[in-house]
Amino acid sequence: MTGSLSVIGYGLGVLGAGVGIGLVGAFTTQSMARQPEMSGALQTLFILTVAFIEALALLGFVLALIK
Amino acid sequence: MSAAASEAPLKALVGEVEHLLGSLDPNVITGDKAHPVKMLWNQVGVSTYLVFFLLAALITLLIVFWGKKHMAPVPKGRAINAFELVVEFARSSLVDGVIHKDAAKYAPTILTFFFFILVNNLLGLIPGCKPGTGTISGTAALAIIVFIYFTFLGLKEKGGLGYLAGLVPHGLPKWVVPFVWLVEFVSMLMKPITHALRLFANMYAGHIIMGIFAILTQLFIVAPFAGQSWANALASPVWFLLLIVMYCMEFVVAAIQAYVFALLAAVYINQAISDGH
Repeated sequence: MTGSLSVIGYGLGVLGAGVGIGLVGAFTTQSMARQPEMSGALQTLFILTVAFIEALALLGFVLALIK
Repeated sequence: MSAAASEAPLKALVGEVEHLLGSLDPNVITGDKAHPVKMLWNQVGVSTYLVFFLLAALITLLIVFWGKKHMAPVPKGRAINAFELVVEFARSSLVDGVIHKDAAKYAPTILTFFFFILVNNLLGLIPGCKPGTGTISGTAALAIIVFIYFTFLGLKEKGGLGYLAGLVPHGLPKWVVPFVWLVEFVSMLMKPITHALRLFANMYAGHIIMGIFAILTQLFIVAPFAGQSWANALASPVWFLLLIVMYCMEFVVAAIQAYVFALLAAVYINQAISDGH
């Protein structure tokens, strides 16, 4: 079995980001259900937070490419 | 290709991916080949990505001038109304909703980033074209422009010392202030890096995935001719279906990433000009 160790590193990095985005999604949905009138503001915040978390996972993706 | 086809399709994929990654490398037209991520200073030149980058700039200009020509209090026609809807949505959610001070002043810059990146991303989805945002050098250029712009605005608004002091939120105990300042300062320097990487990696990863599905479609259909089982050919349409699904998905990603880039630019500008975030 051959493969790249950096891809395993990327997989490990993505675990945290996955949990993070899941939490953001869950609590945004919960907040929207409780206060539907806040949906607009929450949506912007949701995308913003996901973008910040995503950057961490993408750092791993890029580091996996640099061999 | 012919040598690879005699293997099982999934095993042949490993060799094909190398070619795929090679085809996504920014080919410098002057003859050199650059790495998509590592920026090497001795490989300065015009790449195919740069050509599409400039093409996207031209298309954006044409769209905007067309919109300007048809601008009216009550616009007539479907296209111009749709355009106005997009502009109004971007304006209200990216600029007015994020920047709390003199929002109108920064609207042109942020909307330019939004439309330019959107056109870039969508241009890359036309088969045969490449997204100008598909190299780190392209997105780094955009991110550095944003970095210089918001640093300049912050310095103009608060002055040199005021801007540096403004990195720390108010109301912290005295002894943590130096540590928080250091963390905030490093995170400020990291902003253009993550800003550029986010856009690049999303476009690059999307194109790799579409390329892999396209290769799998081909590998599974040629497998029976190379002595593999005929059942392989039945799997080919499934990969093609996945390719189409990914292609539609990429339109969503293109729009979201343009939105996110412009949104972050607006957030950074707001942080730089507002007191005590």
